[in-house]
Amino acid sequence: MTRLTCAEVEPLLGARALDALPQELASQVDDHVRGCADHAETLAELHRTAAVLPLMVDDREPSPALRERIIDLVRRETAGSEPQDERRQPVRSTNRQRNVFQRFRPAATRLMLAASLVLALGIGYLVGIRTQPELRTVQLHGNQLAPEAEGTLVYAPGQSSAVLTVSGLPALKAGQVYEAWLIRNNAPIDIGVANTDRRLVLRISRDPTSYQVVAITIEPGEQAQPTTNPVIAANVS
Amino acid sequence: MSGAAPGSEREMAALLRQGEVAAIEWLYEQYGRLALGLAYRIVRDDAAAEDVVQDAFLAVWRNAKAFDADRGSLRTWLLAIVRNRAIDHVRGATRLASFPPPLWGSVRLGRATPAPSAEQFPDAWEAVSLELERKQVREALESLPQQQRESLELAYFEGLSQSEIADRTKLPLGTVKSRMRLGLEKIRSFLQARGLEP
Repeated sequence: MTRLTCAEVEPLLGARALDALPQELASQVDDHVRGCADHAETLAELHRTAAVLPLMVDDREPSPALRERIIDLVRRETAGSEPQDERRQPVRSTNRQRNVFQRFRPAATRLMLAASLVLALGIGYLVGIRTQPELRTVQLHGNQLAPEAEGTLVYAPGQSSAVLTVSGLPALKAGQVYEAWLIRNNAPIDIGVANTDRRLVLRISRDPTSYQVVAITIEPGEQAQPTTNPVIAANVS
Repeated sequence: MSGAAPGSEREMAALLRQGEVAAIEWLYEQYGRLALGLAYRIVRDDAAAEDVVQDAFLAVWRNAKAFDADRGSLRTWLLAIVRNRAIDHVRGATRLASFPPPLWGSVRLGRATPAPSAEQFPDAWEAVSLELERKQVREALESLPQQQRESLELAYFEGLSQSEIADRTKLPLGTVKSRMRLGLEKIRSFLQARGLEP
């Protein structure tokens, strides 16, 4: 196989990333790239870019039978390859929530409990219940975008009232705000904005149990829909 | 995975490797409609598109142990398989490389800081994030000159080689090559300018 030079490979990289080269030429490009760090990096970037192209197509609703066919075939293959195996554990129905709590940091726990207690009393006042309502809390932990962020959502199930408090958020740039969201069926609902210094306290006039996720993004001003990924989030139900 | 809280791609990839049927159910719930949309865009026939999607999901199931979550997303891998199988279908299965290696990354949000991994976001947010990505990708494609966009679409969605595209568009081969490269680079720049990192 003829070894291509850098100059020969350069104009072929776009076509290679799009899988638009004849097999032999594609193999020659691949052979070159294995020994050329610059072109390996360029081709990897072009590959990753080409990989977003299918995102431009519209969804299409499958027939109900398609899902059944796929799952049935998979189950049959599983049963055929090995007997039903007791060591295989079913997927935990609440593994996401469990993971959230597994990330609970002991150092922050006491602070969060204290905050929760204060907030719980606040909720009792807010919902106008003389007796202590059944209060629940959800802990939020910042991701790589906000590694110091910690938060607590306190709510009484069935009541349209909750309190969200978060501290340790990344500092805002000029014009930015923290925007909080509740999400149900993939639809985010704006529940408030703040431009305070690295913290946020929100009273929420909704029942969080009607939603699946609570999250905070940093936005360039208040948005009707989030335009960035959250810096802190957790499942509610 | 009825009634279950779906996990992240990384968690599901691990479960797929372990042979958990629930993981393929999750993958179908997450990306089945997108996969079918892609297959239909290529084969233009509902029944054939469903056959392609079925074939692709089975391929993912059978080859799950080869998937490396550190090198790309399940979504990208699945869609690459769908695309290749659909083009195989259209071209009468004449292509040799019909099973792509799982090495292509996906768009990840975040530019100035390291991209957060998928498992850090709850599942409902992943769906929202996917919609954001799709909107940006459509805008990126729409921002291209028509000729560049056509070259990319003929290559990706019709599986034409650069020579076939030159024949189809009656353009010199060198022009086709440069349009494909430029088109991809412009999409990349467009997405990067909006905080997306292909």
